[in-house]
Amino acid sequence: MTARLIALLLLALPAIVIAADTPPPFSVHDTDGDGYISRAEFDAFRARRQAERAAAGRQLRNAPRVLNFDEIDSDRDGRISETEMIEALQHQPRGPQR
Amino acid sequence: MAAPHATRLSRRAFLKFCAQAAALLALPPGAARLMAAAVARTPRLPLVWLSFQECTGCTEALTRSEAPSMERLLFEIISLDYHHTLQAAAGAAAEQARERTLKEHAGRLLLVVDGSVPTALGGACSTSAGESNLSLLGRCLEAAEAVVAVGTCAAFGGLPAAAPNPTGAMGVAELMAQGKVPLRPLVNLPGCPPVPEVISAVLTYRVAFGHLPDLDERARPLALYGETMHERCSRRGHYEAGRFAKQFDDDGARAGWCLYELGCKGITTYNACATRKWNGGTSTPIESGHPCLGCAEPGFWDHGSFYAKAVHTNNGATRAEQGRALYEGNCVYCHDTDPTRLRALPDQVAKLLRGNSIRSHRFQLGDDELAALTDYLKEVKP
Repeated sequence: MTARLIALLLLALPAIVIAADTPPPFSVHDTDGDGYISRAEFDAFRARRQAERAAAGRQLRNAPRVLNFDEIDSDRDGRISETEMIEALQHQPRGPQR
Repeated sequence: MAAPHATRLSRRAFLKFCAQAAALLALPPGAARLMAAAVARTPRLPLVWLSFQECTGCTEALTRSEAPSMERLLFEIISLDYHHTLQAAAGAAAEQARERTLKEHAGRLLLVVDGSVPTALGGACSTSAGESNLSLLGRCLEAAEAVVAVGTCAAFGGLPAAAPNPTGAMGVAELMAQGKVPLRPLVNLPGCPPVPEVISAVLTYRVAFGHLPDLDERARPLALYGETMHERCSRRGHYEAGRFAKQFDDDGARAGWCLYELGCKGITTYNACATRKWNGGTSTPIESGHPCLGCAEPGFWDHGSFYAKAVHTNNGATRAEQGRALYEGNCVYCHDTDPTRLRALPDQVAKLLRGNSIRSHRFQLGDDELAALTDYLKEVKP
């Protein structure tokens, strides 16, 4: 029994270490839950936003534009962290209101 | 169809004028001919133009509009019986001409006002022939069927009404709202100055169709002021792509990038510059490399530096609409783009964000913004 427990702990250890390195997801668009938004995940979000805007037509005229991936990914590592997202939202131009 | 006073202007010029006016008012293609026919058979509209606390810029704009002399064509359809700046008569003769018009055309003349009206010190800050502007405006409004407030000063008070507003300057709408002058149907054509063709298009519309065009909540013609500069901006693509000039002489400015970060107020300014343009359809300030100053909006002078970033303004948008813009500009990056799927209840959102107890909300939203966001969420998620 003890041996099985130790074996289980040993097996689980790498997973625990990885989990400690992985920040908790901050966005519903982080579909793989790795704590970052990848370019593919962001593209999927952006495409969905644009389709919604097109469907809404004039109701959404003058809606704030959708930021580009490269505007948010300030360290250019190909993925968006929580800190980068907060920075980008804080500094984005506040768009039209009607 | 014969053009009016055909000896003085050609049929071609007359039809061109009507076509331009119809196009500017976003009327269907056939409207130009209807407009031309109606204008040709309608007697000239008696019009009195009063100038109060102003700089003559609005009149300058009208008289310098594009060839073939828009104002000459315009004067074929209206009878400009009194105009402080343009009339040939002077002194007592001018006053008599105005009084005669007020008497002869009582109840059916169109009044045009440029400049704001001082109300402090008994109106003593601006008088004409010993009569205060306020008294003159009141008397003329009694005889008018409607009034067109030309320019930002007449519409919203403009520069004379800027803080601390020593003369107690007010626009026509505010004077009416406070009961200082008689109520009449009002059209506001703000701008410093307004696009000249906007003035002539509205006057032509009134002559041709016998009524005033559809207006927005600030009494501006919807066809002319229904969209912001931003919506028709030639630099809009750069805005969408996130390309902003940071300085007037940087590479972005030279490449024609968006001027938002240099203080462009195009996103909050409703005007016809982007569609009609200036100097005979040549260009706009933004196209020429300068940010929009927002000259057609209320509080134009009191909204800080021309070169400060545009700030949120109501612009007739409801709080819920402002809240929607906030949600779509911020929340959608981490939450569902469909706000009905947000777990928090609308009434909890402001408290959660103020409390800073939840992660990833370290950016600040003001009280007004939180109230707007709550209104929006309540609207979509009752």
